[in-house]
Amino acid sequence: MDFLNQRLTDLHMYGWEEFINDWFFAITISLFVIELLIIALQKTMSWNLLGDSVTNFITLVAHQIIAGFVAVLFYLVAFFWLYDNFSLTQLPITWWSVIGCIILADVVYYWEHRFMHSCGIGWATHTVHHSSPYFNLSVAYRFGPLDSTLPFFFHAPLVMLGFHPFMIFFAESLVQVYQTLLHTEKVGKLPKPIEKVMNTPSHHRVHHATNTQYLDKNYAGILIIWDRMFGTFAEEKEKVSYGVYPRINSVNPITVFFSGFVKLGQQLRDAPSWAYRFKLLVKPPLWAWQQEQKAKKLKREAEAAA
Amino acid sequence: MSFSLSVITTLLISALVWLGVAFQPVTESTVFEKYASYNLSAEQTSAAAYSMITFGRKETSEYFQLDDPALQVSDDVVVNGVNRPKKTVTQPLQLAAAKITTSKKQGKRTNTAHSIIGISRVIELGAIDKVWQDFEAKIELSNQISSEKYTIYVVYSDLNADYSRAKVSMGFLDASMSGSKISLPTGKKVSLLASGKHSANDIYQSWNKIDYNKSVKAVLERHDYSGTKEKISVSVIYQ
Repeated sequence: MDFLNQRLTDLHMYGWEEFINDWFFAITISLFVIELLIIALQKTMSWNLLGDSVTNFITLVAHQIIAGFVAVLFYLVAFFWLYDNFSLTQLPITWWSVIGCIILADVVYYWEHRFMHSCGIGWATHTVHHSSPYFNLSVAYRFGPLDSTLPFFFHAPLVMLGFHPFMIFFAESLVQVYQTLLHTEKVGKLPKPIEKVMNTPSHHRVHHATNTQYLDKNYAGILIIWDRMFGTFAEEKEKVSYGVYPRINSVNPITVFFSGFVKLGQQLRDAPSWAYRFKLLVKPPLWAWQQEQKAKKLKREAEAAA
Repeated sequence: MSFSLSVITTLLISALVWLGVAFQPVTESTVFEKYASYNLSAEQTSAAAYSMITFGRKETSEYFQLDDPALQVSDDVVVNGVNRPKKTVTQPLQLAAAKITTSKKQGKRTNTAHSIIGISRVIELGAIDKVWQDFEAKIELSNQISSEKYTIYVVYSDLNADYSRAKVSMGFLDASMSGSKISLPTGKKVSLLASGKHSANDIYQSWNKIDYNKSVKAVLERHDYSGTKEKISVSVIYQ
């Protein structure tokens, strides 16, 4: 086990991150083709599903373009600036450190993900990922405009703890890759010990569900233990219904990609006050929905009274 | 678990993981590590990152002129053919040093010796790691260390014309040790790097100060250890 403490180079980390991103994308695409074949054999294939899948990959391209700019102009520079000037220490780059970094990146992913579901600005971008009425590997690549930016604020503390930026990128990639593979209906429940500890397709189907008992559950990246510990776990028991309310009902990539922000923009435009606008940004999407329902009810009552 | 308790639990987990990582024993690795992390300034590191993202790893080596003929960067960014100074105290040495109590310190006893006890190999300089490994494996030598202060010499002699191959002798400067005795080269030592805490790059760069118009008899690297602290100096003896 000596290799765990062998000092690695930052370039090693960068190389591994590249390797994982490149090869797992290739593997995922292959698996997606197999998944499509199974769907076709099960005679559940539709033009809408195919269109939705193509749209997912187009949002990926848009996301990658934004991520490229964000990474070069902001993410990377800010990470190294923090690392060089504001880190508690500079932890050695070893596989042991990488394991620690992955654990922390995973718990950070949990909180980042929970944040995305818990405030208007987060949901405006993350709703894109949830808006597909389907659940297949291509959905993993369905991204919103700020999906590459918001993680910065959650991973920056890891830099300040002394993890090398490339080690964090590697850990982030690993969590993301693992997450990607969970987006499928073709894998049922796995053996109980695995389901207890690891995030699985079953757990993640719950996360994507619109069923009331499944809402805002299972935020985990790799380890489901975070949800179990923090009280946000739900087991897949009844059949899952996917998507978001209100439904997007579109495979137009532009409509899909900007759907969350268009909706948020409309809410901000129609808001009765600045305090309400602020709350729209920081309160959970459910709060906005409840306010809308209240407003509609009041309007109906007023109309009835008139 | 409530939200606030969840946050506190997360902070505790983070602290535990951080402690586990911060206090791990670390074994030094390749020269490139020292290039990549020890010696680049903040600005250079950012530039390295830019470069890597834009051009990829191999090009990064070229960007930093690590494709110097003496370095011969390979595809997997392992630097060969470099004067590889060993920075760390080796594991057997650490074990031996740990056994020593303060009362056993023997002061400057080793300073008067003119030979070292160790091993010699004729190697391509890129294979210097192997010599260190062989030296580390000589536990019968490290077991003889009787003080937390000791000195290791690395002597590069019989260098070939392009300085890619040499006889490398590595040993303890301790006359009281038993083992293969290797005489240190004699002659006027010209300092290339004053004794101090130096990075691998400093040591590599010190070779650039050699007057290659003169015939080199030997290059000496002296590693003075005090517990886990290390001071390195480099000097050259011309013919």
